[in-house]
Amino acid sequence: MKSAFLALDRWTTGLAMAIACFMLVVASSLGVFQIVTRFVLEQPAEWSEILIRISLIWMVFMGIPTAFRQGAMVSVDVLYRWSPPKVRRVLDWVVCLAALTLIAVIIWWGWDYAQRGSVQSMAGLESISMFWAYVALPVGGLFCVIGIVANLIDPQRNELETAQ
Amino acid sequence: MTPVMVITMVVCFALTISVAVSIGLASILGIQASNANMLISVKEMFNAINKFPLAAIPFFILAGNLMETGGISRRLVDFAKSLVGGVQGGLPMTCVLTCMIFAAVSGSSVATTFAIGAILIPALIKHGYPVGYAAALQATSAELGVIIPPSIPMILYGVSAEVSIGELFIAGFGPGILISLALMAFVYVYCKFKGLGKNDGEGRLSVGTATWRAGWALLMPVIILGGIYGGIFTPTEASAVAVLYALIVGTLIYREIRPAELYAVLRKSVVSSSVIMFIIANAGLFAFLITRAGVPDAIGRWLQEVLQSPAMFLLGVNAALFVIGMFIETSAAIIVLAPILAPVAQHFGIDPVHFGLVMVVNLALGMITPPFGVNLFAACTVARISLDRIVPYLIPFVLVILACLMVVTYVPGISLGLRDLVYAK
Repeated sequence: MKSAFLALDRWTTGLAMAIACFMLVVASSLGVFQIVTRFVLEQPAEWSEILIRISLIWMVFMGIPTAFRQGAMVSVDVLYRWSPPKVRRVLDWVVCLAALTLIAVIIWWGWDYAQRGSVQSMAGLESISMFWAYVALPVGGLFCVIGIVANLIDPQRNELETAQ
Repeated sequence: MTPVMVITMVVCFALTISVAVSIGLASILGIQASNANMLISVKEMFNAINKFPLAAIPFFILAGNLMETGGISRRLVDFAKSLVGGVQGGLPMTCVLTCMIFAAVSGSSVATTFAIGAILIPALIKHGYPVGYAAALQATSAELGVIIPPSIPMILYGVSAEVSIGELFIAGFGPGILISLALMAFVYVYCKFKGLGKNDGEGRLSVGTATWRAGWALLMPVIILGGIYGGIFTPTEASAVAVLYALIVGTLIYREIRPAELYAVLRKSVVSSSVIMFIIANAGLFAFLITRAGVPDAIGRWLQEVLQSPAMFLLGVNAALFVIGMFIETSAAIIVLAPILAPVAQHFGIDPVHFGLVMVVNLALGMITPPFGVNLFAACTVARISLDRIVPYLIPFVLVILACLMVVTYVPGISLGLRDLVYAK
């Protein structure tokens, strides 16, 4: 059961990460493209800026499942350092439940918000509905749930490797 | 509603719940308590990160990681050593100078601690410096990462307080150079006094060779900052240029990034950026709620009544941010506090760019003050020691930075001189 879940997590979190990396590549390429269009073609593309913003939002919500999974979210962990193993296990549960509560709100209301957004279109890119931007929140949230639970079963703490 | 939010946040922090989740949960409770529509939560989270200037954050993080993997750290250390490494105490001075130059490529101080510390902490220990001293020095010097442009906290301040990021960046040079010089003077005197580092000059390259080898890395800040101040591109566009430049230098010129490593660099950058952007999303929601409740105005009026002069206000800000920085993560602190404090500062006639620098330098100090000091944790990880071994050596460093903070706070010219020169009307 446990190993099956962790295998599922490796797959889903890895998939979300691959999408996030792709989104970062897209955003940086568009960033360079935008400068080229402004200088070389002397005509800035209107749609590149909004696409950069949307792809970065997708990157964030596809990237945080890995952050949750690896325990990479920055926290003030003084209490954790000073606690004996039994208390640490209790804290692991508290941290997990807190994260799940926030993510539940993001999934539930994010989906609601995305549906409402389907009547809006993107400014500068009228053919696409805002649904595709807002839906990053609930979709990322679903991936997060698996990562958060996986970190409870198999805790990792890698805050500093990725902190800024 | 606001007390509920603040108390929830503090309790969550204490329970080791991550910064982003703590702020998010506090906001959700705040929405519940005020019977508002929960849709606000996702809407404001989305809005907080749906801002074009913020794109500079992941781009600068990616560019920094590419440069680091591309072998820039080693070259910058050799370059700094060739300049200042020849005297007694030259190695710690090299550390300060390397961090200063690396800061002009990277927007983060933890990244600076890892990149430079991995090379210089072992070298310092080998030359007979106490390990706690090496770690304290590295943690303190790495603060320059957020003070010298590009800087992630400055981007956040610019977005939250609606101040030009370009002006903030250029205002960072004065304070950055001031802190570098102060730290170098301090370690020089310290080493003379303690008789440390008599053989620091060994194994130096000549200035010419070191400059030649580090040339491409040194050119990067010139292109980025030159581009911004030459009016060629905006700070956000500059960050995209930085990614392209770092990629070309790392793969085609230095050839130290192998294609297989690119995915690892991307993954690392994605995790760092998403962690910080998720904090921004939640802090943005929090800031929206307290603004709607009129808290910033109330605090602002109260501050204006109690602290009647600009000098008193700045002193109050210094003290408050010093304490807040001990416990709270820098980006969250800036997003929540900048919209509250910047208008008051303006009311007292303080330039918002100068005030931004005060906030950034002040909160950067929080990165080296326990219990929550990210640079300390990073330096301890690199040096493989526990936090308590670093503290005795840390106190004089904290005092040096405090002194610099006072100068930056009360001598606006240090931040604004260069800005006025470049942005002369």
